[in-house]
Amino acid sequence: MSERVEVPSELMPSRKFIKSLGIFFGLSGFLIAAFIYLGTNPFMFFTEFHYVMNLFKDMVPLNTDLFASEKLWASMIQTVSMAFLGTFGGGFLAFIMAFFAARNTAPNALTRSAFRAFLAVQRVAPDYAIMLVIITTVGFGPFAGTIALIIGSTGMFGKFFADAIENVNKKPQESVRVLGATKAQEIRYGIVPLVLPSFVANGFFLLEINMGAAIALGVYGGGGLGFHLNVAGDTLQYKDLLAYVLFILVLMICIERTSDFFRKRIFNKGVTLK
Amino acid sequence: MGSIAQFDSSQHEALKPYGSNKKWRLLGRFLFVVVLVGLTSWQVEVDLVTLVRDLPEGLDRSKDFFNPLFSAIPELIGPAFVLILLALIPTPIGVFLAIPVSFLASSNIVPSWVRNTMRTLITIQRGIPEIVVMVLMTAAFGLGAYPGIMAITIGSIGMLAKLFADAIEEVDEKALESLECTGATKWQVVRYGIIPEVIPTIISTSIFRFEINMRQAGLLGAVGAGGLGYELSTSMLALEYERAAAVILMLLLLIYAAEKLSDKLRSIIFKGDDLK
Amino acid sequence: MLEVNNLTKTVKNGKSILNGITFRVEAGEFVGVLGPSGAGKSLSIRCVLGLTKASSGDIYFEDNKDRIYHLTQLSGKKLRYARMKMGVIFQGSNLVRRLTVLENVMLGRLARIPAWRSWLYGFTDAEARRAMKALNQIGMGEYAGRLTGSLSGGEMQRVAIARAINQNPALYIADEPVSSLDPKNARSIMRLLAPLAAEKGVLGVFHQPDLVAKYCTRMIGLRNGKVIYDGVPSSDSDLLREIYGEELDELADISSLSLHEDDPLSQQIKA
Repeated sequence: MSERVEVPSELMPSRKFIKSLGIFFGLSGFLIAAFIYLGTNPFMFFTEFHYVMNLFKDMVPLNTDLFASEKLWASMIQTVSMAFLGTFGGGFLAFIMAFFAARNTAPNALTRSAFRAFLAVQRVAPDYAIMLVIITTVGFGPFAGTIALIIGSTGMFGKFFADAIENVNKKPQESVRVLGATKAQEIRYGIVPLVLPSFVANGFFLLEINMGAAIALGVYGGGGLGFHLNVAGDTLQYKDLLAYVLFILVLMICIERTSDFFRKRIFNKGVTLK
Repeated sequence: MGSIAQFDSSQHEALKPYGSNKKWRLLGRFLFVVVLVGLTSWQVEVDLVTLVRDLPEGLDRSKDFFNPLFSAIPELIGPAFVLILLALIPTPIGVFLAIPVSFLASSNIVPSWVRNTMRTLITIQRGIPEIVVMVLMTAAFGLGAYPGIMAITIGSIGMLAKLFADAIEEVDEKALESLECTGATKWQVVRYGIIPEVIPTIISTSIFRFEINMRQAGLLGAVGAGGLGYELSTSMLALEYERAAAVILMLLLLIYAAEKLSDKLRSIIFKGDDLK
Repeated sequence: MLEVNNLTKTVKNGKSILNGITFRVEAGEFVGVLGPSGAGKSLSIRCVLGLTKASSGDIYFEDNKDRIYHLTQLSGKKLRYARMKMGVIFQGSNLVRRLTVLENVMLGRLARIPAWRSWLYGFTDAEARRAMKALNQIGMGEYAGRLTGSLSGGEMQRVAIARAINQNPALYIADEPVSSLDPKNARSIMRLLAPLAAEKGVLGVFHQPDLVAKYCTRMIGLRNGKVIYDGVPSSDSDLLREIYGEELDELADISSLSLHEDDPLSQQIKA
């Protein structure tokens, strides 16, 4: 190593080490400052572990009678119904609105930007905020939650669908046009068959998300499993609480598996159709 | 179920000639969806008669929402800051915890039984919505920011670990082998062969998770974690709809800003990155 | 310094791919291994590196400090120590694409830094200078800061060689270093390997008989898992037909292109 070898200084390992050290300390400093600002002890989970143990003692053994109760199954059906209607209604609205928001199917530029803006607002708005507004109009209950889910799903998927329509392969559409089809027929036979499988497959994905959201909205007074879960927590019925938690877990995994199954089936079909 | 039925019919339409058999099946599926929508609507207590009767009154009640109380905004800045912290704190902690989990869930690092066990645990974690963790944490630690931070952190781990592990499993086996041939230990191969390849995924997924955490922070805040979400629920309970409208407006702006900021951050970090 | 004795390998379905391979590589030699696909070239190399376990046979390796490694018996720490002394030149595409060129070259020294340091600190500035020297040696100095994945095939191959140089091995082992390159790049890579062979020794697997004839000091022909030729490099067509069988005709198209690429006419055709 007698001769001088020039290494660009930004490539020197020591320089990179200082940089990563800076990121590390910056991040730790931020976390410490944030915890001090919030006045919480970040290690409370470990230092106050007896709280967790106490909760555990209160929860075990879980209330297995609950699994046979009508209340649980009725609330499950209610939650699943909310998620289904939210997905179906939201998907349906998003499907229609997407055609007005996509460049290649919108009647004119003005309509397109109006729908795009509308979908953007819907997408940004969190569904719990939507639900609270709805509650003042239609009152507490699963209906308000369902409307919130429909609106939230429309926003989430409208933009996605519109982008999918804009990126669609132009060829089939042109061949339909050559046959002398009207604009509506062109969309019906040139675009819809191409985007429908992806819409339906993503609809199942949306159903999964909406299941979680339906439970969350239930906590706010939307009914269903979330409502009962929250009541069990608030009234210190921890044996019920654990039963609800386990039930929700199994339900969510079942929904995920089912939706996975259908998604795979649809995509397999989509491939063979090409 | 209903949507798959609908999907099937239109797919077959493209392939099969028109026939009475097909028409009946189409009708059957249509009826199935109608019945399903009907049954679920009954379950969620859709009552159109009452709705139509009460709607004018209800709209009258909610008209305050279109008149936000702008004077409340200064006192909402503190809660807004708490909301941002509720989303910001769990992101790096979640990433920090998800990285070892994702190693244990990758077939090219650990034996397959460890990987499969870890993947199952990740699926279980993903099956528990944040709100459920929040209710459990509140039951243990009481109300406050801590259970919220815990819930969002735990909620982040499963999703992040799964996406990280998927990226790790995609790393080119041959590049790892060539490192092994320099005489490197297994953990050195992980450090220099796998980590650099998955860092872009880690960064972009974390930014995406931060966007999700912003929404979750509002939701969990309302159940007791504090911040803007809590302000929203107290305003609603006090029937101060104008104030609630101001809170919602701020929430929307913050979520929108977080989204734009994430886009900006992504484009800065990946500027000049000509791979992929 | 590398001795392969009666190496055999039988895979799961009972098919034997290596049927008693025996050869030696001495210091200062440039040995080119040729053979049709499936002859067992790459598999023999993998056995030497300990990536695949041989069914029977022995491989001995002697480093520049007169230590002898019985490669077929080694595992764990001892195997890593032996690998440290063998500079492997893989196909360039096997580099870590997301690291810079300089970092990839530094990785050649990985076996010499403790595991804790690779996690907590990484390489030192002195190691970076050393890597830079290796890069300069093959004329890639100005690429040091580039992401490796953004380089062309020929450039990546040079970086792979720089990594092996930086490793300072007792013997270079090259697994198809030029097979994915165009003739011009392939030749310049061979020109880089030749001095390394003179200094230490190179054992390489190649697909181009003309390159082996031109640059190697010895040629080994493999067929059906057996050494059928071991001697002076030659592009004698009868010999090549014996090694390659029918595959020679496909090969001929490619080699004729690379043999005559220097003359103006074929350059015109290419342009």
